[in-house]
Amino acid sequence: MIPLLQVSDLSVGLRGGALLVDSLAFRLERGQRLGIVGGSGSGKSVTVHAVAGLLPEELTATGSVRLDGQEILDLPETERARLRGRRIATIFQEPMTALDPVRRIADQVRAPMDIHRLGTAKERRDKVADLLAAVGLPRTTFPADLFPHELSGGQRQRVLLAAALAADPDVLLADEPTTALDLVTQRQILDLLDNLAERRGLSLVMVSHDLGVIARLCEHVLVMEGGRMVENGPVAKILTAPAHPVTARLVGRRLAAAPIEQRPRHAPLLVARGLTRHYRLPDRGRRVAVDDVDLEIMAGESVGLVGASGSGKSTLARLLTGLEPPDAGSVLLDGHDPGRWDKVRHSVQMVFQDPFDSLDPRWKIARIVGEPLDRDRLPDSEHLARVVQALREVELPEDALRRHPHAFSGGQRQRIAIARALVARPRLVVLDEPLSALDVVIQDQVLALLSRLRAAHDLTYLLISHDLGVVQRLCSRVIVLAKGQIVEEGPVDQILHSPRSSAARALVDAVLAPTVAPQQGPDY
Amino acid sequence: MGATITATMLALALLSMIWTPYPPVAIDIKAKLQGPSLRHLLGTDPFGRDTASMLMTGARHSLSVATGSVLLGAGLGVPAGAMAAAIGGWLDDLVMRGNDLLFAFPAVLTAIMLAAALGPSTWTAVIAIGLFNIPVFARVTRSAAVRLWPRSFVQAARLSGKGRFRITVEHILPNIIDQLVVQVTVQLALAILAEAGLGYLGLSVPPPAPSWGKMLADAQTFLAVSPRLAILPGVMVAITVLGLNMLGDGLRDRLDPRLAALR
Repeated sequence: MIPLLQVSDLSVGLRGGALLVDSLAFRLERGQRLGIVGGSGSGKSVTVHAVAGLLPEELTATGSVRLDGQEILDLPETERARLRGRRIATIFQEPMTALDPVRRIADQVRAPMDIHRLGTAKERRDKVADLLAAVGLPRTTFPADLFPHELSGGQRQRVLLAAALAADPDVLLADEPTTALDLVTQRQILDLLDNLAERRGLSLVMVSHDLGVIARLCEHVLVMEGGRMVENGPVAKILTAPAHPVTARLVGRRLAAAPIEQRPRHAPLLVARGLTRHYRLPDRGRRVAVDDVDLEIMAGESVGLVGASGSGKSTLARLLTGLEPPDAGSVLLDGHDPGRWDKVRHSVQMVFQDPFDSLDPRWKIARIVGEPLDRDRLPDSEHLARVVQALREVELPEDALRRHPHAFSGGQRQRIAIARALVARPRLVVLDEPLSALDVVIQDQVLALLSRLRAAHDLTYLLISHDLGVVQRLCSRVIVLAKGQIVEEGPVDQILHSPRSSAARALVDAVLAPTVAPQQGPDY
Repeated sequence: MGATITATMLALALLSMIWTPYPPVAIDIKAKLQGPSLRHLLGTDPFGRDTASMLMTGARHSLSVATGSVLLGAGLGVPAGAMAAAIGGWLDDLVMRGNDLLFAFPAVLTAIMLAAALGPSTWTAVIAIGLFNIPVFARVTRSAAVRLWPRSFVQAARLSGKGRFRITVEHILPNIIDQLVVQVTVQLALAILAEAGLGYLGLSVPPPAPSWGKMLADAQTFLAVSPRLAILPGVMVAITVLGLNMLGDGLRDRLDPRLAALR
C-alpha cells in the first residue's frame, strides 16, 4: 500500500550554503501520528515548512515528498496552493500572530472552504459552527463574530485548529502548537488534538522540542539533531531505551530531579500582609489581579509561586520587588518596604522571563551587568572587578564584556541577566519564569547554575512558574495562586502527589512526564 | 541616494555663504530676463539678477529655516514626550491635550497669521514652523517611550534604584534615537515646503534676500515670458524634499533592528 506521506532524501539548504535538513526520510501511513523531536536548530521546523511548501525564498528543498504517491515537492506554486488546507493543513506555534486581527473568527475558520470552493454558503456556515463547537468554542459562549483579540492564546489556538480542519485535510502538520501556551492550556489543546485526530482519522505530524508532548500524542517518534535524523522508533522504545545521546538527554530531563536542599528555617526575610492590586478596566470595571495575599519567605528558603497564566503571579512578583505599589497591604523585606527604602535596594534582584527583552540592546555587557551598582559610585576598578566576578560565576568568558546583547544566544543572555542580579549581592532573587523562553537542554544548564549559585551565595529564591516540573527541581515549598489568591501552600512533594485545590491539580496534571501514555490508533 | 541629494543641497547652501557666481541681489537691468548662457548659467530674472546665485542663497535660507524650526520642535517636543511617558498620569494628559490643541490649528494658516503678526523675518518663520513641529516630536517620542517602559530591561534598571529621569536618559532616549532621526528628516522635508509657502506669501526672509518661495511668487507675472523662473525654484524644492524623504526611508531601513539583525 502506498503511504499517505512519504519523504525521502529531503535536504533543505540556503542557496549554495549550509544544509539545514540533510537527507531526511520518513513515511506516514493513513491515520498514523508521527512526532519529530529535537532541540532548537535541529531542523525540525524547517522540515515541516518544506513538506507544507512554505519555505522562505532563501531556502531550497531537494529530494522527494510524495502525497499518496504523487510527487509534490517540485509542483508549481498554484498547484501547491490547491493542496494546502485541502490535503495538507498546518498549525504553528504563535497563536497570537497567526490570526488576522481584523477578521472575525468565523470568517477565518471558513476561509479554507471559501478558497477551495467546498459546499454551499449555508453548508459552510453550518460547518464553521460545528468545527468551533468541536474545538471547544460553542456558539453559546463564543459567538462567531468575535475578533481574535477577544480570545486568549489557548482559544486562538483552538480557532486555528478549527480552521486547519475546515477543508477536511488528510494530514495535519503541527509545528510546536502548544509551546507558547501555559501548561494547563497545553494539556487541554493536546487532549483536543488527540480527540479530533482520533474521530476524523487524521494523520498527524507533530513537531516539538518537548518529548513529553510528543509522547502524549504520537505512537512513533523521529529524533533530529543538526538537520539529520539520529534515531527513530516507537515512542515506548525511545523512552525506555534511547540509543542516541541526544535522545537520552531529551528523555532524561524531567526524570532526574535535583536533590532539594533542606535548611533550617531562619527568620523571615520577606513578609507580605494583605497585598491587593486592582487594575482599572476600560469599561470602568475593576479586575483584581492580586487579592489579599499574605506570605512569608524565610531566609535561605526557595519558594515556588505557581499558577496558570492570568493567576496574578507576575503582578505579585512586581509588588514584592517594589516595582509596583500595592493598592492595599504591605511588603517588608528585612523590615523595610522595598518600594521606599534605598537601603534594601540591593537585597532584592530579579531575573526576567524573556532574555531578549531584559537586556538593553544599546548597552554593552559590562555596563548591563554593572547597572545595579551604578548608584553606589564605586571606584572604577572595584566596579569592574565585581562585574568580572559576576560574569565568571555564570561561566561566561571575560571578552563578553565588550559585546552587545545581540551577540549572544537566549541561554547566554539569561546567564548575563543572572550575573546582573548577582552583582549587587542580593539576598532575595525573584526568578520570573526564567526558563520558559529557553529550549530544554539550555533549561537544564540554567537550572544547574541557579542551584549552584544558591549554595555558593546563600541566596533565597522566589521562583515564579507555571511548570511544577521546574519548580520541583529548585524549590522546597510551593505556593499555588489562582485568581489572585493563594489557594494552596505546602511542600513541593505534597502538592505534586496529593494536590487539594483544583488549580493545583490542573497544574500537576499538566506536567507531562515523558512516560508512555495509553495510546489508541493503529499500531505501528 | 537620498543622502547624496541632501548633501549636495547642503553643500550649495554652504557655498553660497562664501561664493556665488554673482551677488544674488546685484541688479543689472541691461541683462534682464536672459535665458541660460555661459555668463548666467541659469539665466536672469526681470531685474537682471543671476538665477543660479539666487537659488543657492535661497537654499541657504530654506535649509536654515527648516533646520531651525525642526531643532525648535525637537528641542521642546522630545523632552515633553519623554516626560509624559516617564511620569504619566496628569502630566501625560496635560502634554497630550496640549498636543491635541496645537494639532487642532490648521498649521500653515496659523503660521501665516503668526508671521503676519510678528512681521516677516527668518526668526518668525522658524518659530511659526517650529511651533507645529513640537507636537509631532512629542507624540513620536511619547509613543516610542511608552512602549519601552514596560520592558524588562527598564524594570531591571528600576530595580537598580535609578529614577525616572536617569532611566530616560540612559535607556529610553538611546533606544528611540533612530526613530527620532527618521522623524527629523521627514519634518525637515515638511519644513522646507512650509518655508516655501511662507516665502511665497512674502512672510519668510525679508526682501531683498532671495528665498525659493518668493522666487516662485515673483515668477508668476512672467510665467508666459519665462516659465524657467517658476520651474527652477519649484524643482529645487521638489528635489530637496524628495532627497530628505529618501534619506529618511534609507535611515529607517538601516536603523530598523529587525533588518539590522539580518546583516
